[in-house]
Amino acid sequence: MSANELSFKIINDDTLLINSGRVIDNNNAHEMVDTISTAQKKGYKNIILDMSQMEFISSAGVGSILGTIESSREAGGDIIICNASDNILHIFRVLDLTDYLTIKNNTAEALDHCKTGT
Amino acid sequence: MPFDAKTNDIIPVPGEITNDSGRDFFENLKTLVSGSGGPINIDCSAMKMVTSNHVSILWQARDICAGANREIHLLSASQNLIRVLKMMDLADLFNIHPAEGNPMGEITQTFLLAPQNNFSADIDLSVENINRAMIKFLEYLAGFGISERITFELQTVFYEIATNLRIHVGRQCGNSFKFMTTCASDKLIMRFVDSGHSFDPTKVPNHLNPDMAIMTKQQGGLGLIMVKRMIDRMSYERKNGCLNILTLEKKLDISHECQ
Repeated sequence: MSANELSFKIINDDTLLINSGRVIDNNNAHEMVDTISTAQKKGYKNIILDMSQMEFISSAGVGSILGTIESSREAGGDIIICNASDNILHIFRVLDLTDYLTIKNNTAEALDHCKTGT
Repeated sequence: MPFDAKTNDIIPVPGEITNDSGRDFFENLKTLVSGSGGPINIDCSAMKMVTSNHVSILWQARDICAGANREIHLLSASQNLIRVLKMMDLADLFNIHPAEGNPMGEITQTFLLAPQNNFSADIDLSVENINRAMIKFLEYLAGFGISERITFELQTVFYEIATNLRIHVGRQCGNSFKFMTTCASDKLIMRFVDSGHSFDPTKVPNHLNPDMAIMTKQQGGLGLIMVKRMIDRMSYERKNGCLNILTLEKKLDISHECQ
């Protein structure tokens, strides 16, 4: 699996959208952790992970989300996953994380969640 | 047969890949690539069956063309070839021109690559070699016409086990592991053999507590949970005091039984 570049979009002072790219695996999961942690330290309490391009996420990739979500939730925000394909959603289902994580169908729903918490 | 690159700008892919036909193909390709600029056209009409060797030479041809900054065009690509390239995430690397009457994405045949019942590889424990082996494994799986979901699960299983071996066994021995598969009836049997310390993955708990995982910032173990939930059976054997043999079984959703 080759590494991929993350891209970002500032939604507002509280919310950052990260396009997570094609792959999060053991080779680049640390980059995801660093990126999310940096965003949290800068005050973005909501992190939207747009997984529209994602084709593969390894256990380390899932771990990068689990390892950083607490900070967002303690700050009154969340890490919101959106636009994930059936295969990626299957990974979250296999790990029984679909109730634990905040997963939305699309970016609009993710943004709504950031505004309203639903 | 020599290919006159001056009067022809199309190279045919051999219907059957042999040492001679493969060598001729690459000699002709290199002759064309060394000529004047412009796209390289590969005629795929002779590929009645798409084998892993065909995919391999197309992949290598693409690398050769990319090295010379030449576009590569696949002409008269069959549905099977298109599907194989899409499933292996290689379709974007080529300019694909479907054969007439075969629009992109329309699939009418069940079998893709000519099925091979067995696959085995000695895999050095590096990221690059594991990725290369995974591509070969996907080529092998494409021959069974299984669903994208099952293929994705098997890809994930392979990656997670291989990566665990790279992280844990690599530190101990720094060498390789052996990966073997065989298809029996309607299931795929995968075997990972390594010479690291004794480790029985069947003993790892099968559940994930997200709160506990977060509290402990769980770094590992998720991969084995994923594997266990994606396969039908797992067994482990420590052999001769020095070999770990992990055997996984996965039922395939195929319309024919393996021979």
